[in-house]
Amino acid sequence: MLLKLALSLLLLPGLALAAEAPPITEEEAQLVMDCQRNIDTRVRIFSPEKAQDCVRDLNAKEDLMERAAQVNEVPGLVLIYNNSLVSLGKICGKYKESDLGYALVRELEVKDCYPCLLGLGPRPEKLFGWVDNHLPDRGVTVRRSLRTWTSLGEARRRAFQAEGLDEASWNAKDIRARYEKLSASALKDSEALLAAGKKALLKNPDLVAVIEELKQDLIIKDPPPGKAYEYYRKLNKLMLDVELLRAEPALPPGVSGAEKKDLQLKAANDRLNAARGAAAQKGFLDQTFDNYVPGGYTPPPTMLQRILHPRKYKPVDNDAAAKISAKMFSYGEDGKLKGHLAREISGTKAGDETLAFYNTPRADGRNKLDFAFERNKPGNFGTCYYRDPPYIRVNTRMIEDYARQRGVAPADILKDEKLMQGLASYIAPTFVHEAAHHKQEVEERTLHPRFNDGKHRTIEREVEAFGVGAAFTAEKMQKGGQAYAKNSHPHAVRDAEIYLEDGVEALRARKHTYDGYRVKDHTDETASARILASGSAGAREAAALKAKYKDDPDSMTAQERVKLKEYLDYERASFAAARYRLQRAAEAQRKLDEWREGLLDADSETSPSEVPRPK
Amino acid sequence: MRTLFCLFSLFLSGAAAADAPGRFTKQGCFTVATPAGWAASLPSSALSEKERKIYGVEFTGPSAAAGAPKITVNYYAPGNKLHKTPQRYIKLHSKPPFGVNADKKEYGPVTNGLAGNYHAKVFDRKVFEYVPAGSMDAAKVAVYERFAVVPVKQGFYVLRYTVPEALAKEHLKAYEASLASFKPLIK
Repeated sequence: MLLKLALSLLLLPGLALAAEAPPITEEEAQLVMDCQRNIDTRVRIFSPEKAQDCVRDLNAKEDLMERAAQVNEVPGLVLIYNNSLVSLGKICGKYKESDLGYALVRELEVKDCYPCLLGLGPRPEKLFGWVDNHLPDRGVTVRRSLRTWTSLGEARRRAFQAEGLDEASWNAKDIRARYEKLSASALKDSEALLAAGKKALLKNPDLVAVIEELKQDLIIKDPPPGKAYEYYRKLNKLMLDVELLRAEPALPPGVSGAEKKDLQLKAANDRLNAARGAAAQKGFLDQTFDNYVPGGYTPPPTMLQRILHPRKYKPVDNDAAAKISAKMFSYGEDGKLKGHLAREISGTKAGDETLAFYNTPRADGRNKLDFAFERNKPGNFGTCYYRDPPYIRVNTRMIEDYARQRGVAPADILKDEKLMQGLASYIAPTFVHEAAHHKQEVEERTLHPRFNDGKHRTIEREVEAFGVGAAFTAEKMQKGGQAYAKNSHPHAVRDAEIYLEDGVEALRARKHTYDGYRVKDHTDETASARILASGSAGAREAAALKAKYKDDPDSMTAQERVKLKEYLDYERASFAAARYRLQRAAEAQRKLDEWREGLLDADSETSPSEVPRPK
Repeated sequence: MRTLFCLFSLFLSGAAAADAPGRFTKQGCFTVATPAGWAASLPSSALSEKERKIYGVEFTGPSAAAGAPKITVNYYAPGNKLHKTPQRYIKLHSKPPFGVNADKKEYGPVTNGLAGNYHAKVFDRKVFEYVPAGSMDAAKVAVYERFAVVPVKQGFYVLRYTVPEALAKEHLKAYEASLASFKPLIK
């Protein structure tokens, strides 16, 4: 039957010529069948780990997907379904709260929902059995993030029951609808709480748990409503004010008024943190929320905390930024880059590769460097904008950070060549990272012009860019030692350490969940992602045409044949683009790990020595 | 799509031997107790395990505000892509790379210990992560790590405990239990 299908495809001029491809090997056939078994709804394995291997291995060879048709009628679906399991595994395994929720919206609440066809959606509750089986530690977090009825918390459930909701009607809501409802309710309840007297709130034993719940619900919707952050701050103050009213700490004799206030504040904060801890253990709350301080740990300054407690920057003005930019890079008369940053990066493997990219003329001119400093949001180091042509911007906050650490004003940098070179050194790892993205964008678009629209960042691109940046910093560290590291951003040094210790794959493990990227940007690049992105109507039409070609090819009109050919061409090109991305990632890792070997071999401390084996 | 899906033939491959409850086996490489309630996952890489010649598993413990503890167990086969010898692994992880220590990491001495019934070189350290990763505005978070490096005739093993310092004591027993239960299958 499979052979008949393969032969029948031959009749369609110019279409996939599966029968012309070399025969599939036994090992390859086994791979295809194992991957098929992983997504078989009768067996229901659905392993995300196996799916990850399948996505990588099915894309590893140029024509494997075409030859796979010799043992499987629709190998594209095997890839698509396994990729959806990889995505689900990463979303449910790594994210929480609205990041997790909105990522699942993109997977489950779409017309072409492949996880749904595996019985894992569209209602998120259908996913829970799979999560409990494959990600047993994540069950609570996933349920909580999706605000399933039983995770809502007693207070919220009571309030909704009073409105006529119950478990069935609540769980029938899609994720976005739940977040909308919770966000709106949280706004209303926050207003009521803020209007209530503090003395009245003293009597409420669950006040902390309720407020912490409200705070999370205020910001669960993306974007949060306008007053959400204002109420968030006011609720924090309310909790502390109520706690201050609750008890006077025993004070040692002779304390001053100011000391008394400090002690009262500390005691109130300690009680508040204990109450938060107790509430978290009761399961009211998600496992992580800001201000929770177990054992004295201070949570990192999330985006929210930056809004609540903004640092005071003295912004670099546009004129100074432009002048500093010009000093970093300019093109000489020979068409080669010069300037402080060009000098800083040359003489290293990563830097020389970067300079070669910019200094080698291209007919399309898309590798011309357009570099400048530009103000960006806090937390952002730099960006390569995938425009035509691409351009690189480094955040002016890096100039401000550098200046502040040295006790100078940003304008002073322009007057001092040493400071200017120091700034170049400080931002060089960021530039090398963004330049890697520029190179990716240009090279990929040349090979796959249809599929590099710049909208689809992937983890593969990031791992390569972080790897190149880390390799650059590692080489500079080897040459410049402690002095170099002291002048560098701690991130860059840490990335270099990780790279030296455990290679590029250790960087990959750290980067997948970093806040700088929304979850949607972490998709593993596979053909199925592209096919999914091609639009639901197109995908359904193509499936119908394929079925028609298989069942009754003579009935197809000329227009339908043209349409089917277009789709198959798109599918083939899509697989090729995805394969390129994955193979490029593999080549980059090999190259970067080789560079690492070179650095370590050159260092006497880490050169290989005789290994005394145990007897 | 459903119709097409139902056309798939069921392939019955030989079932893998099931692990005893609470035990994880990396086929042909090692077996180790799984800490109760911890999630096992395979490391992600652009290269296959076969190409890298590094075979491992990562156990992730319960999350807390400070982060989640991890235990990784890896077998580094001869000719692996990252660490030519156990000595180099130990040097790289027990001292600052290239002697550079700008953020005051702390390293303990390398001493003799055991992993299961096997001799191991053990050491610990305190390093720092910057959270969130990739952000200029990151907090410096102290991370405690303990290593047990087990050389064998062909390659070596590493059992590694990584945890935010604030939680190090809380989960140490889970690591020690994994260590005590460890059995290399390549010796």
